[in-house]
Order: sequence, then C-alpha cells, then structure tokens
Amino acid sequence: MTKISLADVEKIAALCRLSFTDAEKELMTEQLSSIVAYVEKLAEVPTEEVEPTHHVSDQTDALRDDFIIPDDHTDALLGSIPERDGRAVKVKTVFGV
Amino acid sequence: MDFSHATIRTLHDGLQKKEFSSAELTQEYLARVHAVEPVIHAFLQVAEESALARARDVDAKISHGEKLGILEGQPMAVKDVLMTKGLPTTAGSKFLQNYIAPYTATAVKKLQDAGAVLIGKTNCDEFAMGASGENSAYGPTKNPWDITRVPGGSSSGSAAAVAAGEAVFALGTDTGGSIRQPAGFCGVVGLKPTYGRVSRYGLVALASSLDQIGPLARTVDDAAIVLQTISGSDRNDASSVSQPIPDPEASRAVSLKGLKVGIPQEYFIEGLDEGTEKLVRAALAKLEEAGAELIDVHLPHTEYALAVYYILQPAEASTNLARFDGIRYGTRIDAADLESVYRESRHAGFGSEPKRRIMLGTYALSAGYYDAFYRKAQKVRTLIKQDFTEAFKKVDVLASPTSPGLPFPLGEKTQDPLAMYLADVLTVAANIAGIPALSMPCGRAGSLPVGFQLMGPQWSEERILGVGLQLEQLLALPLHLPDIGT
Repeated sequence: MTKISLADVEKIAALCRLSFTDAEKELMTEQLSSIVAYVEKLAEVPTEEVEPTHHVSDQTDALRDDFIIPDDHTDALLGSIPERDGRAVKVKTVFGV
Repeated sequence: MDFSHATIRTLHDGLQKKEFSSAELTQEYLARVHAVEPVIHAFLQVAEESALARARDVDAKISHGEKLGILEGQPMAVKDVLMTKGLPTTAGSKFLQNYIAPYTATAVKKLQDAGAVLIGKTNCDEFAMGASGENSAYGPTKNPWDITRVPGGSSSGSAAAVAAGEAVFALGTDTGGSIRQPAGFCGVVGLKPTYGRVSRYGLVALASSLDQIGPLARTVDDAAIVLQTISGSDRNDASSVSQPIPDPEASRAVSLKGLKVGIPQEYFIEGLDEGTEKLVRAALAKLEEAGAELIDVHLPHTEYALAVYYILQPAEASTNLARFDGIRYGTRIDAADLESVYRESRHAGFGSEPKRRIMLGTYALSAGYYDAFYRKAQKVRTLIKQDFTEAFKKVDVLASPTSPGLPFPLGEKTQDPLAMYLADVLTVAANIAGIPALSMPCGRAGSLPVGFQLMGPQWSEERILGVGLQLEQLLALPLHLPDIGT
C-alpha cells in the first residue's frame, strides 16, 4: 500500500501551487492516505490487454472552416483582470534577473 | 393563485389562456423565493429586475395575441457554475466572489432564447465538488422536506429550489451524480444526458470528460421539455455531438409492454438503506405488472467505478483549476513574486474540498504515479463501459436506486471525505460510461424522498424518459410543496 507522507504532501503542494499550515498538512496527509488506499483497489483488476478510454464518445475530430466569429465580450473579459495596463495583462517578472 | 401543482404544460396553458400573466407568475415565484430563502438558501443571487422585465416582454407578446413557445414566460433557476452574462457567476467559491460573467453559457442561452425567465443563480458545492451542498463557500442549502438534512449535491440549490416551488425548473450539472443525487434527495426529477448531448460552453469545468448539464424539474415530462431545448451540437464545444434532438412526444409513445428492464445486481449493495430498497423494488414490481420484463443482469466492474471516478475526476479537476492563478480573473493576492501570487491567491480563494481534489489529482498525474493511477483508471474505465455495452445487448434500460441512503443530517459527513464520496457510488458509473441516467421520485421513507434511477445506452434519452413517464403515472405520487414554516 502506498503511504502518503508529509514530504509527499509538501512536494505535491509545491507542484500545484497551494500552501498549507502545518496542521492542514497533517490532516491532508491523513485524508489523502485514506483516499489513495481506497482507489488502490484498482490494482487488483487485470488490465494488461485493455486499452485506456480517454473519451467516451465515438466522435473523433470536430472540424470546421477557419473563419472569424465576431463576439462582443472582449471588454468584459478585460474588465475581470485584477491588474492590467490598458489592454495588456500585468504580471510579476516571469524570468529573474 | 396556487402553483403548488404546476407543471410546464399547465403553466403554459394558463399563460396562453390569459388566466395569469408572466409578470404575475414571476412575481408569485419571487414571493415564494423571498418567503423560503431565509430557511432554504437555494439561491446565491436573485435577478428580480431582469426577470420581471423579461416577463413583461412575454406579456406584451400575449397581449398581441401571439402564440407562446412552451417555455416562454416560465421562471427558471440556473446553477451558479453556468455563466450568465452581466450576473455574478461564483461556482460556489470565494475565488469568484466578485466575478461577473462576460457571456452566457449555451444551455442557458438556449433556454433564454426559448423565452424562459431566469430568476436567479443557485447555490452549489464549490466548483461542483460535493454530494451535500455543504462545500459551498456561501453556506449550505437545506433540504426543503427536512431542513436538518442535506439536499444532496453538488446541484443542491437547483434541486431545493424546484422542490420548494421557487422555480418551475432548473439547470444543474452532473459529473458523478450531481444532478441525480440531489434530485433524489429533494423528491424531484433530474436527468444527466449522454456525454456530448448538451454543450458545455460557458460551464465552469470540473472534469471535462465527465461533466454534463441537465434539467431538474417536477415531472418527467418537464425534464423532457427542458432537455429538448438545451440539446444539440455547438461550435463552441467541440465535444458536443450532432444527434437528433430528443422529442418529448416520442417519449410519450414509449410502451412498457415487452420492455426489458435490467436489474444490476451489484447496485443492490450491502448497506443499501432498507426503506430505499423497498420503494425501488415496489416501483420495479409496478413496471412488471404493466408488462415490462424484469431481468437480473451483472455489471461486474461496478465495485471499481468509484475508485476510477476518484482518480479521473480529481486529475481533470486539478488540471482545469490550474487556470485559477490570480492573473486573469477572480481572487488575487498581491505578493513579492509571480510564484507567490499564484500560491497566495489559490490559498485564499479555494476552500478545503477543491484543495483536497487538486492535491489528489496532482498526485495521480505526477511522475512515478501516472501509470499506477491515471492510466490504470482509464483502462478500468474501458471495462466499466464494456459492462454497460454487454448489459444493453440483453436489456433496454437498467433500473436501480439513485443513492445508497436517505438524505443525511447536515454535518454528518463533512469531516470524512471518503464517506461523502461514497454517496456517489450508484451514480458515477453513468458518467464514466457517458450514458444518460434519470432520477425520479419513487416514494418516501417517512418524510424523506427516495430516488429511482433509470439508465440507458448512449443517446437513449427518449427511451429512459418514456419509461419514466409511464412509471410516474403508475406510481401517481402527489405533486405538492413542502411546508417550510413560513
């Protein structure tokens, strides 16, 4: 059985950009362990010959002509940006100096 | 005016015959909203002014003697994970507390184009994650039939609003049971359509390979009418599929004579509530008396469905929720560097359930675990889908309880996520296989409603709704409103 450790929780939290207090980390360790222990029952199903299902519908490609669809919600989209400069999204420095 | 027995067709007749106006009808529903909301809390936002304006437009049509469409002038509620232009769309999360939707979801737009009157946005578990409504960042919705109990979730507010007579019908979303389970708990009808039946454009995504939008309504016919209106392919959702639109009239023509109803043995599990089982079996007996043939069938991978679900769904959710980074919309906490802006904004904006699922999904997708969890779950998904394909070679529909238990007391499962996840055990497989599934009332255990689930092959909504219509007539349960002490 896979055991989720405190170090695992810290590593996963860093990957998905979440932060937790020490108490929350402990609770998360316990809760994730119990959920992972439950889902690990899949290991008992033989699947060597089985193809994975990525998508349930038989549809493969949904193609359409390449044309411009006018819309009127650009200003509303811009309006929900917390910090911007005119029509540009403002972010902190991405690459360090 | 008494709308306690109202259905879409009776209200349509009343409007067309000028027995009441759409404005009066809307006012009546808004009055009910104001009366019961302090107790039920089904709505996060009531759009009173725009609803009345819309209703008056419909009344102008009536006064000009124009013929109304079936949904025209009828008050509806929409789960707050669906975008509604100009109105807040919070997804039950603090992250989107001040977010105003820039456009309207296709399913909502189709209903508005058909003349339905949006009276408000309904409460739900945060980002549709939950089976009780208690994960809403804005407080839980109460079950209208027993306010000490949960209404189910995640479409908690939509189910409660319809049950409490606050809306004629509502839209919900169902990723693992989030329409059917609350419908069952609140004694209303709920349908999860075939994957691809309804466009997901404008839906705040939970798990994109599982999510579907569908109706919650008081009767099977009402649900069929709403489904007809919201179905169809949409160029804005490449996963929506072009198929004939389900017709409520075709459902009326479905006969029980010779219909093969499969009873999946694995759905009558140990620990199934006794009262629930009794009512479901009584409903099955009614179908048999009316000419249907009951056939025991097996879906051998059923016991793995919930495990598959709790890998695929958090994996997809963690990916979808990566867009909540404090940069383009929603909560933003300023911090020293970009990394900290992400982390602090996500820390402040997400509640504990989204955080738990993001963690679980990130783990299942992370290096070293991907094959053991995510890929394995996709393979077992194939086997679950095949189980249904095999079963539908022998039977026309499958019937089961919607939930293993009755609506549970508020607070009972909030400290134990796994116990909460088990509430979905009979509903998740339909999402995993992409098939349509209906929950309809089949009676009451004491004061608490019990849901009866009908599943069919992909694109068989007309059939399962037709069987539902017949069963509804056979059961002849009364349509009434709960007494909410107002």
